[in-house]
Amino acid sequence: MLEGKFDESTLLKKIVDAIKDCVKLCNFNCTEHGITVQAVDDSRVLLVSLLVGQTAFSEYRCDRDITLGIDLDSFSKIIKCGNNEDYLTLLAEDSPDAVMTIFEDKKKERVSEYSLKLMNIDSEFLKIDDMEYDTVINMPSTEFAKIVRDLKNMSESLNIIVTKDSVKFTSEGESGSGSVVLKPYTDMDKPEESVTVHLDQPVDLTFGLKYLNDIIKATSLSGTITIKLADKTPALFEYKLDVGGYLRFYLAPKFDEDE
Amino acid sequence: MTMSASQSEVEYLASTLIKNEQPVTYQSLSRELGVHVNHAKLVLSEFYEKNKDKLTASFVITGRNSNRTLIKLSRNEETLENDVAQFDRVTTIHIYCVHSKQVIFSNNEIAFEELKHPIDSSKTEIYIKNGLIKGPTVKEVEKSTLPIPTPTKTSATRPPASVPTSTAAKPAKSAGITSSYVSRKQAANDKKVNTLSNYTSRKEESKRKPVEQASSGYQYKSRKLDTKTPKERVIVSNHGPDDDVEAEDDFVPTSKSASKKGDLEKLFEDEFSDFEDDSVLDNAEPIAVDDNIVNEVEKLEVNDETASQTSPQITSRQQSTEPESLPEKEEEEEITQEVDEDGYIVTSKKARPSAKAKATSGKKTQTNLMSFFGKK
Repeated sequence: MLEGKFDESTLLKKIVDAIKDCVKLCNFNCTEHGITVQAVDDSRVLLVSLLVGQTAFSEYRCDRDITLGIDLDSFSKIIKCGNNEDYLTLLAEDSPDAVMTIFEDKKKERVSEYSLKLMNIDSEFLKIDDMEYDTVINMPSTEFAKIVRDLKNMSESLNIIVTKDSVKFTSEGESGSGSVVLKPYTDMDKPEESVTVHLDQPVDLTFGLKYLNDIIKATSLSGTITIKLADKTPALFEYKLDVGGYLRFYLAPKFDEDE
Repeated sequence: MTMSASQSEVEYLASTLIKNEQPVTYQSLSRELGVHVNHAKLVLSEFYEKNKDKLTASFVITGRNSNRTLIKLSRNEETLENDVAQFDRVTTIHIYCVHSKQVIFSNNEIAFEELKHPIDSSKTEIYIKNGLIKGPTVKEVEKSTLPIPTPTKTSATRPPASVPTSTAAKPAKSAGITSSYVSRKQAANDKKVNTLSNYTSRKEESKRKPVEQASSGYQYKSRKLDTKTPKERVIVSNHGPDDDVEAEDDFVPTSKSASKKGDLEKLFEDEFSDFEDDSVLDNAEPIAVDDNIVNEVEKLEVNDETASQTSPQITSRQQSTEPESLPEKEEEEEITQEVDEDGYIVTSKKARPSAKAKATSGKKTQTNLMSFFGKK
């Protein structure tokens, strides 16, 4: 029996909106500690790793580990039926063929419920080791989103070069090129606006902007994004959830053709 | 008769009765001194007996007269015997009022005066203690009886109220939610306080972290001053090699293309011929006649086709020099490869080895996650 109640339906709404564009079908693995998702996009370039911790729920109960195979497009439509401030409760039996989504208005006496049929999704679960990264960048998520949106217009690839005193995002295309240079800085009044760069080794990596554009759809989940880079290794883009948990994207880099 | 009056009682009676010449009833005496009426009667009669010369008294006689109860006020001691004679049987005779012989009050005046004193309901206990006859305590009985019916009434009204709720709960299963979801709004509201506090506390934590990291890491410098220079430098550095390349290109590729006898080279020859051919012809005709003729024929063909062709060729040459020059700097092998493939316009633009310098955007291939992460 799974019963997870969100104080506000917006959190789940944002999560689903963040991942539904790169992953259509995914398994929600529910354990006593919370809900996890791991899914890879069709081209196997972008991996989504989600943890919604128990603390993110106002009430949470999961007697047995349950896997919910969910079609995110349909799920997204259901979740949009609730008002942002409604309570949202997920209900599922121990071996479910459907998951119930229940919205309850906080003031009025209105309860709405939606049942979503589950799917059997074969997904290979990838083993992700804790890696040592050469560079860790913390920055406002909105700022990263803007960089990606802006540079997406120039070409398909985004080159990220991190040196000891700056981070340079470059996009060079047929029509022209653009680049954004960030330097670490500290905003004492608004720490979330700060940009920090922890550098062990300079990094020069290139990523597909198409995938980065999918990643920045998670911007609303967190005020800051953590970018971890290492040479010839998938980059990690992490949005931490304030209420406990995270949404991580692992993105494989682009290499030179002859390498 | 024993003296039952206390010192204060005697003093009070003496002052009021003799000195102030005011009447004293047993009731007023009881009130003033806070003693029982029976005691007040005793004290009053004693005082009267001792001061008969100055005082006169009125009496109350109770008894029976021809089978009915009779209560009679005897005006003074003189009328007392006559009044007593009217009774068949006298039950009690007690003193009512004592006053000075010099002032004469009618009983009505005294009784009327008696009515004037205020009755305070909060002092009933004192009155009772002083002789007020207390009736059966009706109030307590009423209180205990009243509340009992009311709860029974409310309990009678409650069940109907609870019935609807139970009936409302039943339809919740049938007409309501199929998932048997039970709203816990109230409970949630109580818990909400906790969750909210947790939530905020976590926010604070997350706020603290960046501060710590920031403080440990870098110090803020006025970026406006700093950023301008590196940004420009970067651009300059990009352009720098290119400019150099162009400078170097002029002779390197031409020498190689010259060896290959491309169309491009012919164009050069044509240009040369424009200026030098005449002089060459003039100076040494016999040596170079054949070549010149050939060249002139080619030149004519070229000129016939289009004069404009020459300009694109020139531009292409300029473009071709850029990529070729870069490889030259890095590796000479790459250059030779280019030269081999020299379809002069195309290869010059898309020179492969130059990808690093120029085509960082286009020439990369997307790798696959599966090559990094193993399956579980």
